[in-house]
Order: sequence, then structure tokens, then C-alpha cells
Amino acid sequence: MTLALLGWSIPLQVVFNGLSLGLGYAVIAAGIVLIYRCSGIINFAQAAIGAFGVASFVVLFQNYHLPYPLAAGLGVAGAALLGVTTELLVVRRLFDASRVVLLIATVGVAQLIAFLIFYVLPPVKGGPIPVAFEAKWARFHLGDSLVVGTRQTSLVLLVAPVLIALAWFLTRTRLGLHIRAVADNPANARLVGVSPRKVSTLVWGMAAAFAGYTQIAVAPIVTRTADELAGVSSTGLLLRALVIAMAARMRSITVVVIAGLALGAFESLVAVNVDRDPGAFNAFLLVAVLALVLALTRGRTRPGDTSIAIGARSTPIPESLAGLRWVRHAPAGGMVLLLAIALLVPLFVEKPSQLLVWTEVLVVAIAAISLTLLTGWAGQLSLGHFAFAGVGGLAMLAFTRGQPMGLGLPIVGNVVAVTVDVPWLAAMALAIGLGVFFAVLVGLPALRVRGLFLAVTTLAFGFMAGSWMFNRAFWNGGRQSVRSAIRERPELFGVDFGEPRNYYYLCLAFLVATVVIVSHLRRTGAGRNMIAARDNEAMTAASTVSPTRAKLTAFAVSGGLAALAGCLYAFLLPGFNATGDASPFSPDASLRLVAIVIIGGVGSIGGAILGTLWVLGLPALFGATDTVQLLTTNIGLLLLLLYLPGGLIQVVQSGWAATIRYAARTHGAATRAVKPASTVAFHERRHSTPAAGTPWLEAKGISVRFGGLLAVDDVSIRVEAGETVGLIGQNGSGKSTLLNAISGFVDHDGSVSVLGRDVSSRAAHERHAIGLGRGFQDAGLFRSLSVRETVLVALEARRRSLILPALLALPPTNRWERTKRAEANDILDLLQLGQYADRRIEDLSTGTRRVVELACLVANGAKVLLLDEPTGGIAQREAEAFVPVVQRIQRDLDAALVVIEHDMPLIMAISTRVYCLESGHLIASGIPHDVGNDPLVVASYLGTDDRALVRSNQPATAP
Amino acid sequence: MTKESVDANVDAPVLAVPSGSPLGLGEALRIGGSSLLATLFLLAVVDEMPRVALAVLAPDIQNAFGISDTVVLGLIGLTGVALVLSTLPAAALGDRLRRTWVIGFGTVILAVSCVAVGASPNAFLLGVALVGAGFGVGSRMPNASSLLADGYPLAARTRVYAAEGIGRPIGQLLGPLFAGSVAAAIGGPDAWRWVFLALAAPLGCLAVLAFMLRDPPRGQYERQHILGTVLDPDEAEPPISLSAAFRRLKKVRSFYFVAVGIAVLGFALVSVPSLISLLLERQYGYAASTRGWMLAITWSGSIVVVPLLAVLGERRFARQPADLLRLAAVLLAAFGVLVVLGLRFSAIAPFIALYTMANAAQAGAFVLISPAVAAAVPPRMRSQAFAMVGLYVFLFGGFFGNVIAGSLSDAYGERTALTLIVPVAALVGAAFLLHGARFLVPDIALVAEEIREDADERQRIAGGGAVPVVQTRNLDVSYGSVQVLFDCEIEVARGECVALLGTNGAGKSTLLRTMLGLTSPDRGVVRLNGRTITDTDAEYRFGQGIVAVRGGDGVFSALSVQENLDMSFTATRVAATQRAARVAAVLDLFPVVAERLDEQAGDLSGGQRQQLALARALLLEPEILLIDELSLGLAPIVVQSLIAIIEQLRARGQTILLVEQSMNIALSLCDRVLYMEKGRVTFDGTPAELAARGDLVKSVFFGAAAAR
Repeated sequence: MTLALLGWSIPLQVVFNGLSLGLGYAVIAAGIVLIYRCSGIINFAQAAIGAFGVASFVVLFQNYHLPYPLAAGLGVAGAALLGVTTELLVVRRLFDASRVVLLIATVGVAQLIAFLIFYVLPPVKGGPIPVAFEAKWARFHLGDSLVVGTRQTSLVLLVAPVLIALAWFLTRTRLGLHIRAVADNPANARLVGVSPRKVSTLVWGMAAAFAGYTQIAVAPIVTRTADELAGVSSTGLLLRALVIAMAARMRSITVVVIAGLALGAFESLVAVNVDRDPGAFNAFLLVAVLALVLALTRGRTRPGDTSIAIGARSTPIPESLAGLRWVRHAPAGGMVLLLAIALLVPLFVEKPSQLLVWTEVLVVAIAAISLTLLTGWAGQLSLGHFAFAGVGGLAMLAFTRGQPMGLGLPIVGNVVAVTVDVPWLAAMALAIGLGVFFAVLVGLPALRVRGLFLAVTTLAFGFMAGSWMFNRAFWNGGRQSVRSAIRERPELFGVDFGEPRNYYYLCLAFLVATVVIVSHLRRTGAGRNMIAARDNEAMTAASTVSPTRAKLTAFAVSGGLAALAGCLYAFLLPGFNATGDASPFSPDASLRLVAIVIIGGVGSIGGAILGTLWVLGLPALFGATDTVQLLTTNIGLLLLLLYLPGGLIQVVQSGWAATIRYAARTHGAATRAVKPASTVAFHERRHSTPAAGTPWLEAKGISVRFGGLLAVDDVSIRVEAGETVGLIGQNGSGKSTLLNAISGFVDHDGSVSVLGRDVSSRAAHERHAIGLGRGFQDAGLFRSLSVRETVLVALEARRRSLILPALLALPPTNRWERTKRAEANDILDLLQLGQYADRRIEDLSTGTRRVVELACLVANGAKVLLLDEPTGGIAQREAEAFVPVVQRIQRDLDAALVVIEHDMPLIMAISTRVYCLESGHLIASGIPHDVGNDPLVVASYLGTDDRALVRSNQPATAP
Repeated sequence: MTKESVDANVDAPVLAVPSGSPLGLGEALRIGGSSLLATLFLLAVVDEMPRVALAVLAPDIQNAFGISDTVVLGLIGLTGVALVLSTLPAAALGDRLRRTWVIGFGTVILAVSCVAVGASPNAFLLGVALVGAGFGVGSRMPNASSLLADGYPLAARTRVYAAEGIGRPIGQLLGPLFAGSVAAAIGGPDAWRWVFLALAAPLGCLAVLAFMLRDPPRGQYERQHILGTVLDPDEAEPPISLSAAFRRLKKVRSFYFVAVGIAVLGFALVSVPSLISLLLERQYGYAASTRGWMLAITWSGSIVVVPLLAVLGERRFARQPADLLRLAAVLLAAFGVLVVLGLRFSAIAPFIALYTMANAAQAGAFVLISPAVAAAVPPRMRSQAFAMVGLYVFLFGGFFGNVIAGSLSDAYGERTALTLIVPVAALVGAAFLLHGARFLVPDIALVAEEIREDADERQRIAGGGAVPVVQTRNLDVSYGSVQVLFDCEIEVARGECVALLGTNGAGKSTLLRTMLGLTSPDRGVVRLNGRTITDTDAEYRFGQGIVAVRGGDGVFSALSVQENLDMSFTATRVAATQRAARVAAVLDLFPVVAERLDEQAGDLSGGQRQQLALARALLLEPEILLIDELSLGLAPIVVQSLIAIIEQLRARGQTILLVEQSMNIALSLCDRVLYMEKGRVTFDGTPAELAARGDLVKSVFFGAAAAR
């Protein structure tokens, strides 16, 4: 029987087979969800652990003729043991490490398991993979045309009860409760006697047993012979499982099953109706991922949405040692040494093939730096980064080939068809542009999701590109193997780059340029803004910088650099496959690139180079023997991660820290005189004050809705010139939400005008540029930036950093940077933060962070300051000393102030007027005395207990 | 005493034996009983044999199953992995059951595994059986070493370790002899199977003996030595959690560097015997029995050297304990050099002679390392410490070392592989040992200080002093290289409500975390009702009644309110019948929470969440309630209701430690106030006294800025 819909034929048998395939995907996804829910790790080894179970099962069944249940039981036990071992030896050690490090560790575990299957288990003695129920009853007809095979019957009978049991276990049992509690808040779980570690071991054991069990059930459907088993852990299967898990928001097992079935059926239908090529489905998969990303972000909670913050932590040179020349120049010295060695390599390498390998090291280092920029700075994990390199490389070949242009995407298709045939350098520029374009395109979802979910998106892109897109005629010229551009003998200034040695130096020049550009970028505003946007989007916007733009800039620069690496690749190999496992741009190469960056140390340029040297340089140096392979891939990767979770650069950094300590010991006395604070340009007028009588801030009829909850309901407030307005109310009454609405961080009804200008439809960073200044309840600032850099980001309000001049080191970048630095130092001195200037924000106490926040407000020079519990989290006496400082800044900036505070004596003393909110409504407003005696306010907020009211003893002086 | 002052005190090695009071081994045996040492010695001898036999018979086993060098070394490594996995749990089990029983069980497993190895039909099942053997050996090692330290007087410890340690070379000597002769006697391709079958019988007998041994009290001789008297061991001392032991041991610097050094050394130690056996077969063409004899001879030197070193070591230890580790480092370096020297000779005689000397050096080093480790780590976590030593040797040597050695020898031959691996591993390992030696004496002093402190405290209580509910003494805590707490001492008596105040970054939260078991101290103790709980997990402390309410982040947002309350009971043994009554009683206190049982905790307002967290804590009728930031960011009316609840609790006699930012709230609620500054408790007195001390509470950050 065949149905037809939208021109697609929908044969029932195909749908049915697809559904059973989908059930297979679903069970792998369920295991991923289970581990994710407990530990926040996306386990890339899930499929491999299951494969180990299947492999042991098949060996026991085929080679040793154990009965099915016994062999299957042992297989499941083996998988469970492997899961528990992985947890104990790998996950537990990395318990406090970044989730990305753990993700890469699981990739290493997956490789190691593949090794185990290959070397430790005896080879299978052939035959098909056994099926649980092969009796006649298990094969029957359903209706006229639907045949249900024994494999399908077995699958349903085996898997369905287990899936139901799993769902029941998670929601109904005590252990399920523990798992959910640990996933929610591990620190709290410990304090109610539940050990997150034990729960984690249990979950890994369970998930591994589950993987073993379900994959034994699924194996006859997914693969036919034991030989294919190794393929079970392939990226394609994993990607499908991840997409399903993502559709279920990493939560509901029910949704996992439904999504799995749907995906399986859809895949079979695509195969029948569109293209038999399994790669074609990957294009659809990418579309599905993008649709999911859009749908997912509508919800309130966003699991997996933590950005990746594992910046390398280098010890800054303390002021006292900045005068020592050798200390100041040591970091650059290391790079120069590396460069010197790199320059000498061709003199010692005789064989052209060997030189080719070293050239590859240089090229991959460029790609690694581009990923470092994206992942380490902007916090966006890209698991498909080599696809951008592929875009660059293949596009360049296409441009030099001179052929009709059509990007091979289903949508762009044949719309654009221009023939281009340009010289190689111009082609390279075009290709880099295309890389930037694709990176921005893929980066768009990054505006909505971050962290691990973005990783799935990029993985899907990399997979789609590597298995399908690059197979279109534009990219590979219609051939399986692409001819390299090196045969064209590219030439520049009479130098023939077809000569391997010359080409090596060309790549080295590009690498050096990359290092210089990227490290310069890090020192200038554009690079700082990327890190700022990663650490704290709201604070970035409050510094008048658009986080969206900062993130897209990171994608663009990174994509461009990756494309550059791809272009260099295009010359490197005499010929290569555009798609498939052997392709230099395959998804596996992307994963390897992530491993390189993690091994080297995320966020550090030196780390990227060290990582490349380890993974590619060691085999080049010692030959690709088994041992070297073992060290540079699975075991070596795991060991490095276990002992150096911060990457190889960690060794360099601790050596550097020791050097600094040594220098401080020997030259401690040679301190530089502290510069006296010069006057800060408080009165540099950034904003023109509106006409007298116009309120500086006016919010009319503000309403904010979260789902069904009306958090702020039709609230209007106005702030006159130079006023201090208090905002009080119960927790959850909508005070912070109101400020967030005014700042533009949440969608709202009603209108907001700042300094007489209507900003209701403006984005947050634009509102702050017009004259809002914002302090946050948590004073989170930018955790991985130093105090000085934080103030520098705030100074963006006065002078915006430009990306292109920063990239090319053009004026006015350097002059502006110098001016800004001087200004930042002045502000730090003013607030006596000089001694903290080079400390990272995350190392500061709450009190100091609050002062840094004030420094940012000074830097910002705003006219209307919105402060959310500025004394929250600091000790009483510090709070008492804090307020006069706030008031002085307000006076010097000539600004109006809106402040949320629970300290009643304080707020009553400094405010000219007070608003009181209750459940999103305004219940009182007026001068402090009136509001404080309002019976409604007393009943809902103030209460009658003096001890709760009087939190500070000395009310600050009124302005 | 702070860390620095301990360091300053190091000229007097407190645990070292006073010179002039040597203790003969015979006398030590009379004091401690000879059966313990005898059994452990025999076990050391026989335990070694299956692994040695495996190494010697490797070629036959390879032939039987058709497997390569890499696989056979990998299989031997698998034994090591099992050993790794079992040492730590075995140490933990020894804490909870009796160490002697754990050894007995382990030996039974080993005996059964030997039978299974002998009977294995294929490589896969052979691997499974070898895993079992690894488990068996792994459960003996950590427990035997800690038993010896507790079983015999301090003054004879090096020789006691030597006496047990000599079992290993003897086992190495007898193992190949045994394997070689049995294999030769039976003959044929399956002779190796009988070797393993034959090993099961002595192992079974020793298991029975082990079960009959007495388990001596932990640290009894340290106490005797330092205090001069034997105090009754604290029977109620809770078992140490593995993760806490790990965290604590990592901070014992001498031990840490010894462990790292041994880890590096492991790359050489485990793969050398197997590779040399293969070398002897491949390059010299010796048969199994000949190889057995030869390898046996290489262990003969140790039997002479070990007793000599024991006497020498005992003397050095009395004068300067660190010399033990220095000497061990020299011996290990010598091991590396001797092996490489031996490999330069292609003639068999000098090769075997040098290898014999190398083995003697290696065995001697280990005899010296054991007493140093036993002295440096606190007596109650010796099992864990020795487990970690074993773990490090076999994790690296047994698995990674073997894999690398296997691949190298497959590619370049055994000689090259050994020449590459051994010297590097030996020299780097020795360097780590040398470095660790610098910290040995301070570490020993810390152990002594802890024992003294414990005795003083018991004496105080015996003299009629009150037992505080919670007490910390001499607490030093650091994160990485940054020390946060210095010598922190606080006490909270039953029924007291104490406030902990201080500026930001003064260490209040760290102190709380240490009391809760979330952070391990470098030094010092935490006690609950007089029992030491320094090295227990947060989970255990919760069960014992230390219950915390964390300000701002105290609930499980993703769970419902009801589930949040349920969480309190899941890890405790509160009878189901009592639960309902308690929940009802607590919900009476918190009507706001009672109304919202089915809502998600994340949907509650900040005040409601704080109330829920407090309600959940109260369900358990805690011994002490630790409240962190009660009023943080809460509206006055919410704070008012919380204050009312705290007052009710106080009236009921609930012991409370309250960390607060608001001095006014703290002063009005509490009986006593502790003030912290820069990691030290600088004030302890009544609220009135604190109010009078204006100097203590002046602000830290903005004095100058505010004055402008």
C-alpha cells in the first residue's frame, strides 16, 4: 500500500522500516539524555560503549556459542563495566573541569573503545548478527502489504519495555529523584546527603548497560554483519541521536522516542523520494536542527545553554616587574623561538613528502587559531569548523577552475550562475569572503543558543558539508577527487609556490600573520568585546556594545581564518576527496581540530600551536607508528586531559608563573613609583541634557509578561534631572524586571524615553548609548577579563573600537587604545582599584566587584544610572562606606539615579522619591516619608520588625 | 601553630626514634605478635607468583592462543587495571570491615582466579580470569602495609617492612623456579595451565590464615610514641571517604611527590620483567624453564640487599627521616642505570648480573619508601595512601607503560624499547622522590601535632570540659597555592546561636564549606560532638546532623516544592511514619511553603525559596543548623518572618551558626559573635562586646575613597 502526499510517495513498508530504524536512533539518544541530565555532559562515547556491548555479545554468541540470553547478558554487563570504568577513571577526575573538556574526553574514550574492540576482542567468526526472536510467530503480515520481520518484532519486544521502564524510573523512583536533583544543583544535593559522584557512577553504569542492551537489540536493524559493527559509533549515527536528544530538550524520554521514530521514518522517505545518497539526508538534518534551534529558544529554560568559559589563565606581569625588560619580552620571546625553529625546518627536512607534512602542521595551526578565537574567546563551540576550511579551499579551487557558480545549496541552487576565473590570490580573497559568509550564516543560530546546543548545530553543518554539500558540482567540479591548485604553479613576485619549500615559507608567513593579527585583536577593543559578550551579555549591552555584533564578528573572523587555512590546504595535497572519511574537510577532521585546541589549551594562541604540534607534529617527527598514534589520539589525548585539563599551555603558564615569582623574589625591590591619580574627565559631555522640565527617564505603562505570568503590570515611573529615585518592593515584585525592561533586556509593552528621546523600539546597547548606565544585582561583570579590561570595555561608550582597523593594525586603533588605557588607569586610581588592575574579575570578592562596577559607571559616563541592589552581598560596614562613593559619582557625572535597595534607612535617606511595587503593580509613590508610612507598603514590604529594617546604622548624607 | 611555624620546628623530627633505644626485630615481634608478619610475608611471596608465572610463560600462552606481544602485555596490563580498580575500594572496605578479612577475601578470589586462568579455553576468558587475579592482589596490598604500620612498634618499622618486602623478591625468585620446573616436569604445550592450577592450593591455605588474624588499632604506636601512653582508640571514629582521603593525601606534599615519582617509575617497573623474558626468548632462544631459572637468579641480590638496607634505613630514619627517601631515590636512579648498562652487553652473564643488581636496588628502594609513607600520612588513612601508591605503579606501569612498551618492542625490538623507557622513567621518578624528601619532616610534624591535639582535647573533656557540637581546631585551608584560612578555631556549644561575621573575602564561606565537608583542610580538625569528622564527605556529615541552608541557592529549582521537601528524607533513615508528622510540623512554621507544594521551586520568589530551604533543613531536626546569608537580598518583611522563625528555633534549643552580612540582624539574634578577618578569627565574644570594638569592624576597601 502506498500513500502519496505533496508529490512524495509514502509506501507503508518504507515508513515502517524507517520507524524501526528511528527506534534505534531513539534508544541511543535516550542514553545521551540520561547522562546529560545527570552531569551536563554530552557523551560522545555513548554509541561506542554500546558497540562494545554488541561486539562482546556477538563474539560470545558466534565464537563461543553461548545461548542468546547469556551472551546478551554478558555483553550488557561488559558495556556497564565499561561505562562505570569510564566514569571512575575519566569523568570523576574531570568532575570540576569544563563540560567541553569532558566532551572531548568522551571523544577520546570513544576512540579508545574502538581500539579495545579491535585489539582486545577476538575477531568474530562471521555470520549475521543474531536476532532475539527468530521463531515463526515473530514474522507476520500486517494488513495486505506490510511485512513485519523477526528483526523488527524482536526490536519492539526488547526495547519498548525498557524505554517505558526508563521513563518510569526517572520520574517515579527515589533514585530518579536523586538524579534530577543532582542534575539541577549538585552542590545542594551533597548537602542533603546525596552524593553527586555516586549518582554519576550509577547513571554512567545504567546508561552504558542501557546502551549495550538497546544496541544489541538494534544491531540487526542498523547493521547486517559483524564487520559493520565498528561503524556503529560513526559520527552520522551520533549526530542523529544528538538531534533527537536536542528535540527532547535533553529531558523527556517520551519526546525522544517520538522524535526518533519521526526522524527514522523521515529519513527512509527522503531516501525513497529524494536521493538514495545518505548524504542528502544530512542537508535535511541541518534544516531540522536550525528549525529546532528556533523553536527551542521560545521556551523559558534553555538546557545546555551555558557558554563555554575556559579561557587560558596566564599570570599577568605585575606592575612592579613591568620595568624588567626580560620579563616583559619573555612571552614574545617564546613565539620568536618557535618561529626560528619553524624557519629552520626546511633546511633539515629532505623528503618533499616530509616537508608536506610540516606544511600541513602550519596550515592546521591557522585553523586551530581560528577555532581558539571562536571557542576560547567568544565561547562558541564549533564542532564542524573544518567545514569552513572546506568552504574556503574548495571555493578557491572552483574560482580558479572557472566554472558556473552555484553554491550547491538546495535553495541557492542555480539562482546564481556566474562563471568566475580569477588569479589565485584574488580567488583566495573571494574564498575567504565566502568563508566569512558561511560562518556568519551558521553563526546566526548562535544569537539564540550557545554552548553545547550550538555545538550540535555546527556538527550538523560540518556533517552536511562534508557528506553532501561538497559533493555538489560547484564544490568538487563534479568529480570525486579534486585536483589540487598546486599544479597550476601559483606564482607571486616571481616566486614559484609550486616548489614545496617556497610553499612552506608562504604558509609560515600566513601563520605568522595570523598569530600577529589575532594576538593584536585580543589586545584591542574588538577582541575584548567578544570575551565580554561571552561572559555577560547584559553587561556588554550596558557598556553600549552590541553582543550580537560582537558574536557575529567572532564568527566572521574565525570563519575567514578557517577559510584561509582551507585555501592553503587546497594547494597542499596533489589531489583529494572533497567528501567522505578521507577528505581533509571531513567531520572527523573537525573533531580532531577541537581536540587540538583542547589539548593545547582553549583560548590561547600558543596553546593552539602547541596542540597542533602535539597531534600532527609528533607523528611528523617520529613517523606514524602505532605508539605515536596512540599517544597523539586516544590514550594520549585522555592522559593529557586528565592531568592537564587546561591543556599543554598549562605547563607553559605554570612555568611562566614560576618565572614571575622568581623575578619578584629577586627584583621585588625595583618597584615603580605609583602614579598619582590625575583628574578624570568626568565632565566630558557625552550626552546633551534635554530641555529643562523634560524628565530624564520616563517609562509609561510598562508591562512585562513571562509566559502566563504578568511580572510587571502597567507601571509608569519618571525621573527628573539629577534626582535619586528609590525602587522598593518584595522579592519577585518586579523591580529588577522593570529595570530590565527600561534597559531593554526584556520585551515589554509601553514606552521608555531617556533624556527626552523615545527608545521604546531600540535594542539594549542603543539605549545605553543614549545615556543609560546600569549596575547589576550580581555584579557579575566579565569574569575572565581583568579589572582594567573590564573598565576598557565600559569605555567603549566613549570611543567605539573598530574591527577592521584592529585586524589590520591600522590607525586609529593604537592611538585610541593608548588613550583608553590612560583613561582606564585614571578611573582605577580614582576608585583606589590600582592594585587590582591586572586581577581577573572572578578572583575578586563581591565587595571589590561592586567597586569595579562603579568604575564602569564612571567610564560609561551615563546620565541615568539604574542600580540593582548595589550593596547586596557585601558586609554591612562596607555597604555603609559604599553609598557616599555612589553619591559622589552621581554628583560628578551630574546624573540621575534609580536604585533598588532593601536597606531601608539607606534608601529613605538618599532618595528624593520612592516607588513601591507589589506583584508587578505600583502600590505607592512619593517622598520617602510618605511611602514609608503607607499602610499598604508596611503590610506588603516593610513589616514592623526594626531588626529587619535597620540594616545599616549610619544613613548616608542626603545629596 | 601555623604552617610556617610547623616548618620552623622541623629540626626535631618528632616521630623519629630517639637515638639510643634500638628495638630488635625479635622484640618487635614479641610486642606485635609474629603471626601477622608471618602471614603477610607468605602472602607477599605467593601473591607474586601468578603474575611472575604469567610473565615467564608468556610465549607459551601466546602460542596457545595465537596472540601478539602487544596483546599479551596488554593482558598482563589488564591485571594491573583490575588491581588499580580494587586497591582503593579494598582500602575503604578495610576501614569498614576488618583489614584482615579483606585480605582473606582477596586471597580467596586470587585462588579461584588461578584455577580459572589454568582452565581458560580462550584469550577472552583468560583476560576475564586475569582481571579476577588483579582484584585479589589489589585487595591485599594497601591493607597489608597499613596493618604492619599499626601492628609493630615504631622503632622497628623499617625492618618490619623489609621483612614483608623481602617476600616480593623471594616470590620473584621462587615464581619462575616454580613455573619453570612445573612446566618442565609436565611438558607439552599445555604445561603452563598446570602451573596456575598448582598455585591455588597454597593461596587457599593462606586465605584461611588471614581470616584468623587480629586487626590492630590504627595509629596506636604513634600515639604511644608521642604521648607516652596508649590511649584507647576512638572506636566511634567514622570511616574515611575515598574522595576525602584523596583530597587530603594530595595535600601531604611529601606523599604526593612520592606518588607522582612512583607513577613515572611505573612505566619501567612493570614492563621490564615481561620484556626481558621476551628478549631472552627471541634473542637468546632460551626455553621457558631456562628463562625461569635465569629470572629467578636476578632476584637473588635483593634477598641480600634488603635486610642490610633495612638496618641502615632504620638508623637513618632515627636521625633524619628524609634520608630514607633520598636513599630510595638514589637506588631507583641506580636501577635505571644498571638496567641500561646490562642491556649494552650481548653476552648473557654480565647482562644477568647487572639486572640482578638493578633488581636489588629496586627492591631496596621500595623497602625504604614504605616507612616514609607510613610516617608522613595520618595513621587513619594509611590504607588509602598505600592503595594510591599501588594504584600509581600499576595504573601507569601496568597499563599505559605496558601498552607503550609493547608497541615499542613490536616496532623496534625489546632491547631498544627497554633502553628508551627505563632510564627516563627511573631518573625522573628519582627526581620526584628527591623533591618530596624536602617535605617529609614537616609532614611528620603535622601528624604528630594532630595526635597531640587529639589527646589534649580528650583530656579536656575527661577533665569535665563540655563537648561542643561543632568544633574546628588549627584549620588551614587553601585553594591551590592561595591560603584562605589560617589556624581557624571555632566552637559552637549545644543550644547556642552563634553569628559569624566578617568582611568580604575574610573566609567565612570557606570555613563553612570546610565544616560542611565541601573543602578539605591542609591541616587541622573538624569535630562533631567530639568525634573527628575532618575526612568525611559532606553526604556523611548531613546524615550525622550538620545541615546547611545556603543563601540564594538553597533549593532545587527544577523540582517541585514537595520533591524538594522529600529530598531531605531520601538519604536518611527517618521512619516513614515520622515523616508525615515532621512535614506537618515544619509546614506549620512556613504556611507560604505549605500553599505551594505542587509548584516548581524555581517559580517561587526569593523569600519563598529561602523559606523552603529553611523548611527542608528543619525536617531533619539537625544537630547544628548552618545558615549562610539569611537575609541576602530579601525584603524586610521576609527577613522579619525569617527572624521570627530563627527565634522560635532558638527558643527550642536548636544549635545555630549564622553567617550574616548584616551586623544588626546578627547582633540582635545571637548569643555570641565570631568576627573573621583575612582568614583568621579575630574576635569571639558577646554582641555587646563586639559593638564596643569599633576597630574590628572598620571597612576594608573604601576607607580612603569614602573619606574624600
